[in-house]
Amino acid sequence: MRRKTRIGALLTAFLLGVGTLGVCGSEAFAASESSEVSAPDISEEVTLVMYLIGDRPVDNDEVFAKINEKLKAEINATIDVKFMSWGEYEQKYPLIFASGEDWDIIYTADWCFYNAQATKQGFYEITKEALETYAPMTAETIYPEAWEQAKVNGQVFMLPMNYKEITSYVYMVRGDLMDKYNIESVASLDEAEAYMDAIVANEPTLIPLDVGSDYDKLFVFDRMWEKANWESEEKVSGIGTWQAIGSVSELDDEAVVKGNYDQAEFGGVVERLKDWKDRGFWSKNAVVNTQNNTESFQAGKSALALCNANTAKSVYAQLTTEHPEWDIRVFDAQDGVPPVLNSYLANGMSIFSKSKNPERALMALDYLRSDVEINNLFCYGIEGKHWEASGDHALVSLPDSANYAYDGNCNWGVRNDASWRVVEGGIPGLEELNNVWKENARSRRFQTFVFDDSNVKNEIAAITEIFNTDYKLLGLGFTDDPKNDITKLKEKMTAAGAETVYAEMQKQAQEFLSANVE
Amino acid sequence: MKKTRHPFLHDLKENRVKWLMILPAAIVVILMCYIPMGGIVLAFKEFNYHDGIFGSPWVGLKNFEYFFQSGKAWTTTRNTILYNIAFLCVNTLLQITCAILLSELAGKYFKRITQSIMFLPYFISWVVVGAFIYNMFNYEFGAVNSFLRALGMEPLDVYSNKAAWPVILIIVSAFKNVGYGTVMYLASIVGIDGEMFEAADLDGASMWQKIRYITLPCIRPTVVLLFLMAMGTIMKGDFQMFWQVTGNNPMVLDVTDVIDTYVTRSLLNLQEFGMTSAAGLYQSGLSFILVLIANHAVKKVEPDYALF
Repeated sequence: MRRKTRIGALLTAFLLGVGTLGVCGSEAFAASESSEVSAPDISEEVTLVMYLIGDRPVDNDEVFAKINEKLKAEINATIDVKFMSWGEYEQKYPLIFASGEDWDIIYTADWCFYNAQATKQGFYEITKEALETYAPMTAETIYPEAWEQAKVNGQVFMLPMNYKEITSYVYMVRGDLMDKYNIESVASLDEAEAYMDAIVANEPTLIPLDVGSDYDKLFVFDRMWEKANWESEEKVSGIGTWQAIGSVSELDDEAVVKGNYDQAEFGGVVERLKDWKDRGFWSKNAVVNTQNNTESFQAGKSALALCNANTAKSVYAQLTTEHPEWDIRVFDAQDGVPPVLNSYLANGMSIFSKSKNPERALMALDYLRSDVEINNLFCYGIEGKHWEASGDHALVSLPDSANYAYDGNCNWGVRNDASWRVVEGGIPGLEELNNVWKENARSRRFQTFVFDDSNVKNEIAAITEIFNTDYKLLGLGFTDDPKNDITKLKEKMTAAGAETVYAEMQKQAQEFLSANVE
Repeated sequence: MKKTRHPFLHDLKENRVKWLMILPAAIVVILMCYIPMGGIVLAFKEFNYHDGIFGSPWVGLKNFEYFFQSGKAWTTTRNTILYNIAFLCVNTLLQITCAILLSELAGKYFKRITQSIMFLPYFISWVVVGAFIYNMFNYEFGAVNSFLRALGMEPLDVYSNKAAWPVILIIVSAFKNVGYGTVMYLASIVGIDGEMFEAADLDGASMWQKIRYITLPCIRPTVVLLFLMAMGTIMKGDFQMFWQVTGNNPMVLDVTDVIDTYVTRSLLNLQEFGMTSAAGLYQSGLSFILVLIANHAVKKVEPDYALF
């Protein structure tokens, strides 16, 4: 017995020792970080690790060798790029912050963990002074409204893109199959329905639209939901944390927030989704898909893809060379709904709060954004190999761009209107579509509203679980009895505290409105 | 005088070989179990990256609320316990049966080969098993449904059928684990004194009687020991299995969600390290209580076999 207690004591001592070590470590770190107010000292050569989302383009290393050559000369630093694929980024992104890995720069966006990681102090704060000291070119050119939008509780943790962008969706369709079944156009939900009916009836080896992965579980729902709401009287649109599925009528100055399931159009949309699912437009086991619908389409497993116009551009270029016999055609999937004018936070770059060289990282970002040569390299690849200039604001893609696609290497965070070039050629008719979209594009009323969830964290956590399971199932039409399942969803949401969350949202939304009226 | 020596150091010297033998296991336990235990504090903190695990602010029991608020505490606890009881019973029964069958089999080579083949699934990764299941049961192109269609029958929609999953999970668990357990039981059957069987043969005992009166009683300590060990993990769902085999399918979560998958899923969705540690701590707490109860029960019935 006595021996046992001794071992216990030893163990305890050991554990305490480890604990103290840990504490010492973190204090030392805090001390070193606070002494950062000196002029740029670039005497020591550093390698910055930058995380991007996507797959490594074939010519990535070649492109970055060129970028690094110039960076080395200018700021004595080089960039080492690491990638996390679209299939795993939702899991991997938060984990690299916690893993203790040594890295410096990462792609971020309002839809890609910006708020979540910023409030957990995952990002290095970029102060106005730091910007002027280390990133003078950016300090001069950054849009003031972009800088304002990037603030989380008054602090900026991101350099948002310097680029005005709209998000609009398109259908990519197999032209060979359209001709075979006499389909003229697939430019609305109804036409897509007719096309998919033809596929189900005649092409048993193809899944019409292979949605269902984490990335696109709600794509079809979103198209239907936005169309139904845009055409309705109320003009309902989403507000706050999207997992909380709250929405509000844009005409309502009281900003009464309700769950989507309480909005008039929800039932009809779910009915239609159920109908589409039952007719076999997507797989009966779509919910366990790991490949998104564009990847499936590229692999020849499905007959239709739904994606945003930017994705379509790079996929189109690839497929026309790989499978010219498919005769890919692209159609507007907005179906009359004005596209969303993105906030600047839709793309951006941030620095890791534990980066060993945050100043140098900021300097590097400055060059990536504002140095025309480096920015062009990152965005379009090597001039003469991947692209050729055509005037000051356009370019022609060369055959080698298959190995480094235009605007395809997660460079969206450094897009800069000053040095931006559009592709000449590409998808036929896209230019006209783009003009229509640009004319109609609008910002949603609560687009820049940021919900502070600190008072309702537990409720949000419980709701997120429901969002990811029950709600997403409805969004793919997996229900035998829509009415009943919507009631059940509502009961679950209420039990999880949805009312509290929506009341809090309404309160903050009213403050937001009164602040923005002035 | 020898007596004044430190008793622990003395023991260390006296039994140094034994201590050396226990050393690797001790290191593993300390590294993998005791040191990470410090992370339990996370359950009571609001974690942020900058202050780290020990520096983040305390929030008391707030992190535990969401687990109960989401209404998941009961379903996941129930699933975890019921699945593990089912696995424990089915697997143990199959393992003992197979071990006895193998031990009664004649033909050394046949026995060896059978044993090895049974053992193989243990080495197959769950990811691969998950792919098997998907390719068998997927609605449009799965092997089972292609077969049914070829026979002109209605295809089965397994991925949205809640009743199918407990059966599938129990079968895959047996598929993976029976071979491994069989070897352990076989070892303890081989260890039984052969003279007992000879004596039984002389007395004219049938094979069934030998099994009933010699083999089974002799392997009872092994059964009890393995059962007790399994009790310790009864609150621990085999994460890999539940995650990979079901593909984290939201349609059947009611019957397949165990605490481990729930914790992982909410960590990935929420990035709230505190809340998920709280759920983990709840699991460990219950687990600890269950081990104490099981050990206590065994002590009542068979005092010699209890763990402590």
